[in-house]
Amino acid sequence: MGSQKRNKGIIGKKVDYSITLNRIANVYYNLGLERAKLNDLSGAAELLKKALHFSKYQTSARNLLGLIYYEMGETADALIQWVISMNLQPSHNRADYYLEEVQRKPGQLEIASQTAKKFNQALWQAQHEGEDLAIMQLNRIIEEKPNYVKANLLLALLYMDKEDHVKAGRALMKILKIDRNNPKALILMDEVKHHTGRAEIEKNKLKNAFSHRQMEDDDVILPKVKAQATAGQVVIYLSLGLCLGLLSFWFLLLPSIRRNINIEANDQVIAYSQELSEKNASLTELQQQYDTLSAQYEDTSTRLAAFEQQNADFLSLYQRLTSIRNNYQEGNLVQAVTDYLSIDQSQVTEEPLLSQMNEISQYMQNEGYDQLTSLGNSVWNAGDLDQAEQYFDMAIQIRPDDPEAQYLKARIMQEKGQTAEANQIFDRIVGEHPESSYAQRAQTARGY
Amino acid sequence: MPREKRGLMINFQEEIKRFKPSLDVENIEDAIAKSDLTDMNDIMMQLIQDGIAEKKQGDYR
Repeated sequence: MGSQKRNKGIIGKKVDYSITLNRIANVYYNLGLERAKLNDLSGAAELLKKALHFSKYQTSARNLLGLIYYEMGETADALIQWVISMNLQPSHNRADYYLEEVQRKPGQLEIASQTAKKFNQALWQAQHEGEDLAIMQLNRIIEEKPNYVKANLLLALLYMDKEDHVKAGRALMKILKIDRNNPKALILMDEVKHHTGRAEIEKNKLKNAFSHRQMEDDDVILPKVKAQATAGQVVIYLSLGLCLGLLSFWFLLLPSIRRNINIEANDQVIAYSQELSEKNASLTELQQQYDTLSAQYEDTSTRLAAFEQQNADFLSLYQRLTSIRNNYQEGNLVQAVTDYLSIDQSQVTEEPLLSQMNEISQYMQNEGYDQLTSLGNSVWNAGDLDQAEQYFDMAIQIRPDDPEAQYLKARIMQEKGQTAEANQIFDRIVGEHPESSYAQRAQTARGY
Repeated sequence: MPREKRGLMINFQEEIKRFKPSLDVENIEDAIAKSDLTDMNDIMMQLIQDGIAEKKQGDYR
C-alpha cells in the first residue's frame, strides 16, 4: 500500500512538472510571437529556442522558428525545424503546409542550395583576401535573395573595411527592415552613422524634438496666408522646377543607371572568371592526360627498342651458330673454331639457342679438339711451325685444362727458340698436372 | 592606416572569422540526425527515474 501511494505521488509530481514546463514553454512562445510581430526576428528566435528547451513538443514555437529562419534567408535551417516538427507531430501540423509550399515551387530547393554555396564561396574569398570578388558575389546573391540577412551583414562588413560607409549603411538598413533588432547590424550601424555624420544629425533632431517650450495662455497662433504668385514669380518657379528636375535626374537617376551598368559589368567579370577557372581546370586535366600518354609512349618505345635489340641479338647468335655448324660440316675447321671461340657462352640463355650451343660445345670439346691437335701435329711434321702453333692455341682455348695441347705448343716454342716462354709452360704442366704423362715429358723437354 | 588609429571599434578580420558557412539544403539530413532534441521535460523525467531507482535500492537494503 505504501509503495502504491509513493508511486502515485511520483506520477503526480511528473504530471505537475510536465504542466509547469509546458506553461513556461508557452510563455516563451507568446513572447517570441510578440517579438516576431514587431519584426524583431533575432529576439523572437532566441525566445522560441528557449520555449523549445522547455518543451520540444511546442510545435507552434518550432514552426515559427522555421518561418523566422526562412524569412532571414536560411532555408536549410527552416527546413530542419519543419521536418523535426512534422516528426514530433505528424498530423494537424502547419509545418506540412510550409514544407509543401517550399517544395511546390519547381527548383526552389536547388536555388536555395546554389545560394548557400555561393555565400560560402564569398565567405571563403572574404576570409582569404579576396574582398573585391566577395563583394561582387554577395551583391549577386542579394539581388537574387534580398532577405538573406547573413549575406547583407557580410557585405556591410566588407564595405566598412573599404571605408564605403554609405553602401555599408544601405546593406545594414536592409537587414534592419527585415530584423529590426539584429544585434550585429545595430552595432555596425552605430559605427556607420558615426563615420557618415548621421549620428550627430539624429542626436540634434532628438534634441530639437524635446526642446520645444510649452505654449502659454498669452501665445497667439497666426494663420498662414497664401499669397497669389505674380507672372515673374511663376517664371522663376518654373525655372527652379526645371533646374530641380535636371538636378534630380543627375543625382538620383544617373547613379542608379550607372550602378545597373556596373552590376552588369561585375556579373560579366564573375562569369568570365568562372569560365576561365573552368578552362584552366580543363587545360590542367588535358596536360595531365598528355603527360601520362607521353610517359606511356616513352615506356613502350623503350620496351620496344629493348625487344628489338633482344630480337636482333637472338637472330645474330642464331646465324653465328648456324655458320659454325655449316663450316664444321664443310671441313672449314679453323673458321668454325674461330667463330665458336668468339661467342660469350654465358650470354646464351634462351632456348633453342642454348641446346644448339651445348651441342656445338660438346662437339668442339671432343672431336674439334682432337682434330685440331691432329692437324697441328701434321703441319708440324710438314715443318709449318706457325700454323701448328695456331692449331694448338685453338685447342688450348677449347680445353684449357688439357696438358696435351699445352705441351705441344711449348715444344713448338722451344723449337722456335722461345725457350723461356716454353719453360714456363712446361713448369705449369708439371705444377698443375703432376700425375699426367705430359708432366714427365715436360720435365724431360725442360732438361731436368 | 591601422584600424586602431582610425578609432574603429570593430576588428574586420576578427568579425570575418566569426562568420560561419551557411547550411546547404543537401546537408539537412545530417543536421537533423545530429540535432539534440532533449528538453527540460526529458531531463526532469530522467531525474525522477533516477530518484525512483535509488529509492527502490534503498528499500531492498
